[in-house]
Amino acid sequence: MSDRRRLIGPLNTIIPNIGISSNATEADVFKGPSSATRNEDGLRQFFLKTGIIENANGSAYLEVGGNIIQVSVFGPRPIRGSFVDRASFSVECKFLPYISQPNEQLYNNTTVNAGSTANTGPTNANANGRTGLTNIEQKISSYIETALLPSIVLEKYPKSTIDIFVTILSTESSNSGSTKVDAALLGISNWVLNCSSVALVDSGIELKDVVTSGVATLKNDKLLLDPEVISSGEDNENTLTCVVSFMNLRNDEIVGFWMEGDQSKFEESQVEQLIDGCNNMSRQVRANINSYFTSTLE
Amino acid sequence: MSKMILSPAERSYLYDSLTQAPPIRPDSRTDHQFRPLEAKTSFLPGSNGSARIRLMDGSECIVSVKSKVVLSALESSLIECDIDVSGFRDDSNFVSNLKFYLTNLLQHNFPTQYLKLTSRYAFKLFIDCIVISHSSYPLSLISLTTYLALKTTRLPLLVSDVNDEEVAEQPTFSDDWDNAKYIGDFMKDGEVFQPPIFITLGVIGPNLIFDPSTEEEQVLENGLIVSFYGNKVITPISNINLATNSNNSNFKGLNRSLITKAMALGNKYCPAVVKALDTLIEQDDEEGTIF
Repeated sequence: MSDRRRLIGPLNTIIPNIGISSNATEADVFKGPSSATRNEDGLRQFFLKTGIIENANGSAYLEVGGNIIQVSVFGPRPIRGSFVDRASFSVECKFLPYISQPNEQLYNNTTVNAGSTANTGPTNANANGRTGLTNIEQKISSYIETALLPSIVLEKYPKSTIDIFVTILSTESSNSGSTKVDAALLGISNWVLNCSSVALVDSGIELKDVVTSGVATLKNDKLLLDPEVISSGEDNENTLTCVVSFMNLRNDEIVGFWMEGDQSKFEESQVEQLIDGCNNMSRQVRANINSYFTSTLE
Repeated sequence: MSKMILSPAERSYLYDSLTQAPPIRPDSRTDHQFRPLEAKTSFLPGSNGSARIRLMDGSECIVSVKSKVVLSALESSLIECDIDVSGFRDDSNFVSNLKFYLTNLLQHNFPTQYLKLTSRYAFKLFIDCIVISHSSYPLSLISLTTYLALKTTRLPLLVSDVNDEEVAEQPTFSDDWDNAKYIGDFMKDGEVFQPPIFITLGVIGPNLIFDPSTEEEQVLENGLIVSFYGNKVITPISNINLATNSNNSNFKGLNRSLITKAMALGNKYCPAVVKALDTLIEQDDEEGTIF
């Protein structure tokens, strides 16, 4: 925590005992999200923990369904050179290299080899060697940045930067799904945003409000909050999915909005319904985050 | 790269003007008016379709559409977009996002069934956009240029047999370029080929302003991207910080009523935009000259 000028290696480094068996039983296999893990309010249970990365100013770890997200916040860090009267803010979101990204054939221009259906491994050519972000990662980064920007009191931190680094350790998406479904992308963006908000609170950076987010799907006039990834084979027509991020204590101002889905029967009333659904979910998530923080104070 | 193009006094003046009802815009446009543009189509000899749009502030975008015959089973998509913006790296957040938007829009809203040649073969369209110069967020410029390029895209006439289910046959095409057909010609009676477009809306106070200029972007409270296809507003719809890398202290959350208002405005005014673009193509008949 003392050195804010540079990224140093983690303080709590553990050297793995390679080759020594820990007699561990086989790791639990994700059975995938099921309705059993849903609460009465219709949301899935999620696991949240803050302060896991010691040399970051704030960090958070979130598990929900098959998604595992880790966020670290660095800042306010001083910048050299020209004077700026407000902090600059940036978000970088990365998937671990072997994680398949939602709809990556479509957006990341990765080639699909139709001949080898057995190959379920990464389709990102040279995924381990890449340095930049893929189009999907850039898109999620932008969504988080746009949504969090209004909540941070940047004026308090002149000549500084605040950087958020998101690492997606696991997703519940599968590449076998239809390439036309962006629901997985919206779902992961939603949880990345909630996790980033918690990390920002943990960092102690001054905020106007804690941004929380909800995701909802409207299918045949049936509203589903926090939808799980639609399995392949299923009929995906007439499905609208929407992620909306709110500042719930500031008049439910919408700071992030992203809607995808079927076009044929698209009306304003449906958008209203979706925003209502997302707002409900956002409030639930907010209540959970609030109680998490009050419980950690004790 | 931090842009500081307005002084605090200018920002305040512009903000106050734009929050009036109706908004007073610096170039005296109404809230739903686009900036005037100049367009040219079908000028690239090596492309199936091409278009260029220039705005009065010097913004310029060129789009080329090329086609290739592919085995449709091997392709994940029959449309591929690439965007190049001068002054930005291809892997930058700015360019990646533009590419994501355009790919997303065309992927979900394009009559790809008309690109199918036979049961095995199909045309794949490669849409290459170059933004030579821009001042405001270029997504709408790129999308309008793409509209013109796709509308004027001509594909060679297939002369071999359409039915290749039993006898494998390589598709062959007419040598005569005059026989080439527009994508719209493949469509059934009553259907019109109108590629999807994006419009950018600026949110300021209670107002929504179409096609914000770079000065207006500096004081906006938020931005919305709305897509339009088949004579109505469709998805994707999202919000966006239009003034990237700027020191815009006005940026804040938006009221939910503005999202439905944006959809209503899109439904009301976008047909006129599409009609204006179609008129541009009709009037643009000189071949080959772009200067």
